[in-house]
Amino acid sequence: MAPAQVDFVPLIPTIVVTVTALAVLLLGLWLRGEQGIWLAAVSIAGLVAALVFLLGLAGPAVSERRAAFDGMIVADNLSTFFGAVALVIAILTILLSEHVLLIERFSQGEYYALVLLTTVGMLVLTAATDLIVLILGLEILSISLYVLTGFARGRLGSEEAALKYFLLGAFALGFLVYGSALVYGATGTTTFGQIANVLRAPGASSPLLLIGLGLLLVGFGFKLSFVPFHMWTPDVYEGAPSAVTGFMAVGTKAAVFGSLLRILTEAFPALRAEWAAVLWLLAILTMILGNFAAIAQRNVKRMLAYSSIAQAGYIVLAVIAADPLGRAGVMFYVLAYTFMNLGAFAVVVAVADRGDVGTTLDHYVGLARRSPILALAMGVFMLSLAGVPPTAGFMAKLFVFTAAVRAGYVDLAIIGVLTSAVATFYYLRVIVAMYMSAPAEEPAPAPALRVPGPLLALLVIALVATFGLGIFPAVTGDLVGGTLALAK
Amino acid sequence: MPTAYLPLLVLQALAVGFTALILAVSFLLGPRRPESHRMVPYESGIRPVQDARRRFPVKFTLVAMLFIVFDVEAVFFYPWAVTYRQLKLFGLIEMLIFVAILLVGYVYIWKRGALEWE
Amino acid sequence: MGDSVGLALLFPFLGFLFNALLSRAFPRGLSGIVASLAVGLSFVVALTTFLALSALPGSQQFHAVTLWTWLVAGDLNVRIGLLVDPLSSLMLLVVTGVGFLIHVYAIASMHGDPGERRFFAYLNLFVLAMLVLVLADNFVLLMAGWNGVGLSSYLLIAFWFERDEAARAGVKAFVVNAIGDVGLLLAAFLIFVSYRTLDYDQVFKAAGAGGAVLTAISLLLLLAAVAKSAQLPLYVWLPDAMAGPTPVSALIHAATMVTAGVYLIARTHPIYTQSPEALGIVATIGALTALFAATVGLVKPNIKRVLAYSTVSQLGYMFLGVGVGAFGAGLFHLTTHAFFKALLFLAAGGAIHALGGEEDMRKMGGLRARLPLVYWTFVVGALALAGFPLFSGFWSKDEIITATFAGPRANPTLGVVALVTALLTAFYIFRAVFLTFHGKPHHHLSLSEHFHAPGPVMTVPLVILAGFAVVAGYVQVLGGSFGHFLQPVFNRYGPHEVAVALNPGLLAASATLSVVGIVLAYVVYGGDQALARRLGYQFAWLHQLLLNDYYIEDLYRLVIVRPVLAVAGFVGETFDRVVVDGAVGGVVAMVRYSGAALTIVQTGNLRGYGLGILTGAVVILAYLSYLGGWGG
Repeated sequence: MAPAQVDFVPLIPTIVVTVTALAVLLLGLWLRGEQGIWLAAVSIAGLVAALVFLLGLAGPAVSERRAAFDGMIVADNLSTFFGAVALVIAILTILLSEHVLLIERFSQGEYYALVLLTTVGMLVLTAATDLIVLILGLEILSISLYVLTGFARGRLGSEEAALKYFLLGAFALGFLVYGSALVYGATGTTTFGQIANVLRAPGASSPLLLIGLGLLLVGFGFKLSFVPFHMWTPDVYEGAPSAVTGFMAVGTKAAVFGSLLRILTEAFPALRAEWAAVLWLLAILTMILGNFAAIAQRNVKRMLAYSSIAQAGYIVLAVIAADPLGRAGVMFYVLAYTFMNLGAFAVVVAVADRGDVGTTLDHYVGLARRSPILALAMGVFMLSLAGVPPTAGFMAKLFVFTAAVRAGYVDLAIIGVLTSAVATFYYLRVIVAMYMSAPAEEPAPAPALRVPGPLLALLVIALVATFGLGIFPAVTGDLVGGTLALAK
Repeated sequence: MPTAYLPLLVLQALAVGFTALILAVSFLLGPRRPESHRMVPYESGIRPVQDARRRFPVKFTLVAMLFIVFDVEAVFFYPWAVTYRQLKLFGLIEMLIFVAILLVGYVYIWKRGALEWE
Repeated sequence: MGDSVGLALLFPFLGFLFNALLSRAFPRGLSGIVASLAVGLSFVVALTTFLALSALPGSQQFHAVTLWTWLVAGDLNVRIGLLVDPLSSLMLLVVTGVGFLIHVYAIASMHGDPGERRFFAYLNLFVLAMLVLVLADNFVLLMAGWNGVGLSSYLLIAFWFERDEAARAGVKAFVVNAIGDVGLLLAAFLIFVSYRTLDYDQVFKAAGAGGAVLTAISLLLLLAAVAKSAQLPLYVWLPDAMAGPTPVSALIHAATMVTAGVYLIARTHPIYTQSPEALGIVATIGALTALFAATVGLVKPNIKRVLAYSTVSQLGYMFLGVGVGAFGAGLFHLTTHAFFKALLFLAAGGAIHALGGEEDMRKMGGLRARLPLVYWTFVVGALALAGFPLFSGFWSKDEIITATFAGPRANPTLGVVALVTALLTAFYIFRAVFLTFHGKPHHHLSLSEHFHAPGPVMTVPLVILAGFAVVAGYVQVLGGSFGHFLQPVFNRYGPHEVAVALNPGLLAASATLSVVGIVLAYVVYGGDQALARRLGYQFAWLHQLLLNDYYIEDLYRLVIVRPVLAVAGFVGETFDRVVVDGAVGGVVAMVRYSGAALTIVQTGNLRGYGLGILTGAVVILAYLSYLGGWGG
């Protein structure tokens, strides 16, 4: 008996990143301290190679699907887009972390290997067209992140965050696995396409299936921190090392939103009314609570955590719309969010002292004097998160709101617009703090901040992208537009 | 209520009922003569020197965890060995890759000193 | 010819880039010169565009210029497209012309400020955003400009952010404007839903039939216009915005940005004319605001604040004008107002500058002798504002009043309000003239050597603006070319504008009121002000009521600001930390005592969080089962 349909080609980027991770893990045993720069270089080289393979894979015929392993894995526009975003996020994270590892004396090989393994999880997740592979990808992603969250060993906040994240994550995984089991029980298959086929028959919907779908949404809701599954987010974001928080915030969102979009449209198109109703409720709760809770925060990391909750609420709008405009909206928003949020965390990393001390608003007072470039960059990222033109955040919001309006969810768009008006307040507060003069009681002005090279590179990339996506969003049109072919 | 699940319910009832029955029977019929020798964990074995709930070096945990990791991975060899003839060369290469990944992990824990006791 | 209009955007952008990024490498004084030069070049472009356009016959005066395609997704198609037509080219001319003069003035008045470079970078950014706003040919680009001017206005109000008052005023302006932005965004969504496009041209062509939707769109647009143009009930940010430097008050908060609301209504007139209700509301808001702000302006002691309330009041006139369908008259008043109000601010700035930053009129007095040029230009501006016969404000204001009485949407009640306001206007502005420049000098600097008499860089723009404040009205009167020039715009999508001939009777009435107001001001404030003091005592309650803006701000604080902050605090702190932890704690305790092992980690939080997830899951499943129509 010949082995089942085996096609490794769609897996090449994943394999490349895995091998890089193993190599970095081993090299890390010998390369220490200042030599760690080579580990970063090897990691980035591996990620770039994977990116080349991924985009080469997409090649000229972007709209062609390539399924492998009996339809458990697929290479298509969706996986290419979100996979590419995941790889870019990983590259930027390495730029973000390089000097942190030295200052904090973290084990560099392990750190990079874990970042790479998280990326492997993202790649698997975005390419998964089968419930089992989906859970596999999600767990590779999550377990690596649990460890990264607790990477600052000996720092109580970090350990507590890791434990909380792990326990609640395991709890949420239970919902996901149980949901998958129920869906399997109801349809007799775990592959997305076949689930959709089964459901196409009239009367295929059953209580078992709906409960399964509900539990799956709970699992996704936890990972994307929708209200009311969001409560871990502020604690974990605050406790984790800032660089990891940035990685976690954008990386998880990119991969899990890609996966959510896929499973809802490829496996459950027949249940659109049901899942749209649930997401409708979650979106409203998420937008309102996320934004209002953010107002009360004094800690910038915590504020960004609530902001990320709120931003997830906006992306859901486009998921609910689920038409070509909605898909493009999800993609564009995720891309814009990647740059502006990772950029914001880069500033947080640069401002904080050793041990992530100094993340409250008070530490941002007078930042404009200590480092004009950091203050300027943070100002741009805040405005972009608030959705002020001509930044990427404005186009992203316009995109998802328009998609929601078009799909008939005017109520969601109105709530979105109103809550983002509320949001300007807390984003603006950071800018106000940065451009205020330092408190008078300080005898000597705080010393100027030095921005390390890789971090500066990251900031420049994020700034260019934030403006680029805002002023020339059509540039992404090819990638985004290509995926529109998937809409049928 | 789907009748297909009825046997499962019967099985559950039987399992719970049987356990309860055994406990009840031994409680009712068994002779009880409590004396100090009978209350120790190992009635005819070595006398316990102290309470079992005490702290012991975390290294045990580490070794135990590593053992479990490698032991569980070894379990993968069994189904592979059974279907080896059908898988042919492809199966061999796949398993070699699997072993290579294990080996990376082994080298890593060795070099990190996880296997050294002191 | 339209293609070169992109240059008008390019120059301020380059100026902004230079001042934001490169100017540190050059002497500080250069930034102001570069910024002024950039706006000056834009003005040249504006002037050539304007002249070329006016040489063409009316039907050919519309040019669309697409710079690049912004975004295409589904049927959402957004271009960076500019529309050159008489309306936008007029706005272009006003913004760059007045803007250039104010930039030049600012070179002197901001000289030596540590943030000089930053100031001019912001100022160029503002001009860029304002030009995008007026040149946009679709609602998305309009929004970009709309938000852009809001942002730069915030940056400039809070320019002296180390002053608490300035920082707070900036945030206030931003927040109030955010309310307006919401209106604009929602209007755009509604337009997109209804017409599947966001291009002006296509929307306006399709807007012929509408009904309730058009009214809704008009009202949302009106919300945006009211916030940006500081009309009732959202005027509160503008008086506080005077905490910014004087050139900013002149340029942004008098001549250009605040008129964006009037521009918006004029631009979207094909929508408004379909909804008489909405237009009626515009007119009513305008008239009430004009009266309200004029009464408050009667008592304020701070000269810049008097001018700010006067701006609010004059914007009310413009709203009244477009509200009764006299779009051309509204735009005409916008133009003359840009000249004389910028003049008044800059002249007041000269007095303030001379006294080392003093803005309280009660402490000024007697400046006429020391600052003759400033005095005379201020008087010219005041006469124009008061609608003194033959000055520019006289013509433009009367055109609005005439339309209110005799136009196709005439509303005589509002016309009477406008006439009363005209009297008040003349009174309060000449109160400012007499308090500031006449009487005895009260300020210790007014006779000392530290008195900073303004130099030619400041006075030349004053003289030029004074010239315009006198003659700008005659463009209309002689040959009626102003309304004629705009006519094609307002009749492109149907005959929406009906010209109304000036009524000699009304002209005489308003001229009389203006003179009476000035004389009254002289009687009360021209001498030793004993009468003013006596009136203040006699009508103390009225005085207090006006000084406190009819207690509107206190009402807002009580009804809106406090509850919002309370809710935010509640959600942020209470919900996550206390409700989940405490109320849920009872359940957790039950779970623990019943022996179930949820007690893995001894932090209450974690158990609460887990329970939160569980509750959410249960709610979702219940919801789904409800949708599924089974199980209850």
